[in-house]
Amino acid sequence: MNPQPQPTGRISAALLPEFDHEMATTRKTLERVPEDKFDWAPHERSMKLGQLASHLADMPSWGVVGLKQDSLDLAPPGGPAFEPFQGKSRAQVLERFDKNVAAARAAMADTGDPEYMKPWSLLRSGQTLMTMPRVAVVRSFVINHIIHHRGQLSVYLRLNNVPVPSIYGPSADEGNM
Amino acid sequence: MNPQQQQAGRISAALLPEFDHEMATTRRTLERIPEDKLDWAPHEKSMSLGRLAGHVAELPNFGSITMKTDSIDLASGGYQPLTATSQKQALDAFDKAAAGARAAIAAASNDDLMQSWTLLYGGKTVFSMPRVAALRAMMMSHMIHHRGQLSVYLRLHNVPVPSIYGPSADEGSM
Repeated sequence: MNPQPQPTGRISAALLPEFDHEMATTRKTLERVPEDKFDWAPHERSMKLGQLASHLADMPSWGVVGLKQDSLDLAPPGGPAFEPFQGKSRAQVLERFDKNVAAARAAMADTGDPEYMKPWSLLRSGQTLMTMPRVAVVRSFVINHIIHHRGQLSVYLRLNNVPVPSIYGPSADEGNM
Repeated sequence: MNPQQQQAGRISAALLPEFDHEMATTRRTLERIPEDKLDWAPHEKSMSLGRLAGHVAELPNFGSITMKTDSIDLASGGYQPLTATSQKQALDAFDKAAAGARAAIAAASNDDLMQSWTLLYGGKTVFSMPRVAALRAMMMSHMIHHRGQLSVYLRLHNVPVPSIYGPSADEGSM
């Protein structure tokens, strides 16, 4: 028996192979973050390495938020603001990432085509910032956003002489065609 | 069927809004590359800024290549990597590549997009996947990855980083 939840619609069937592939590459990258450099940043205005890795571990959870809720308020009136995860070790980052990826995958597999086309909104303090179909939340806010920050993390690794994994092709350190 | 209904089931109609959004963000990033730093690299094993910007600018070409061929062989010698020698050169190459890709995607039927496409290296298959998946991997995701790297290069030169998926430390607010 396949332990992975099977897709329930055409959209999830199209999204899941790509999601699985990108999350595997992201995990491979996170496995390399040097623990003794969590406080390092390449520039005073940049995220620290630990923050960037934690942000990557957090992001898959937005797949669940995008598919199981109608909206997210970054600073809900009268409620606590969104608290970013701050991993203290590589193990914590990976544990968080694995948990979030599994939950996002299950939510994606469980969502049918009509639900993927339902609108979802991002708000701050009750004000709508943007509204888009849920499939676009998964695509842009989750997958593209992860790819963007993983690209940044690959530069952080290089600057600390950590071999950069092959991501879309060989890096100067690894992989060949 | 009215034209709107015809559009509704088309894969290309689902791809183009995301394509336009991502290409606009990429152009905004390329508009900021500092011309006097094109030879600079953050590490001896890293791409130079000019090569990275050239790579980001040329990646949309995969859109038209994927739609016009059934396969390409990366070892065939046909690929001439672009190393940008000016900002204008990078932007011109990008605009041309993005316009070609957009036209190829807009013209594609669902059958065209579901047809298998193969990447080869020296005759060996690297992968085969439906064109729609190859467009995602080779063009969009690949470009977003290197654009992310380019945003770090900009920061290291104190160039304000544009808002990409949310505010940067320099610009944008939620």
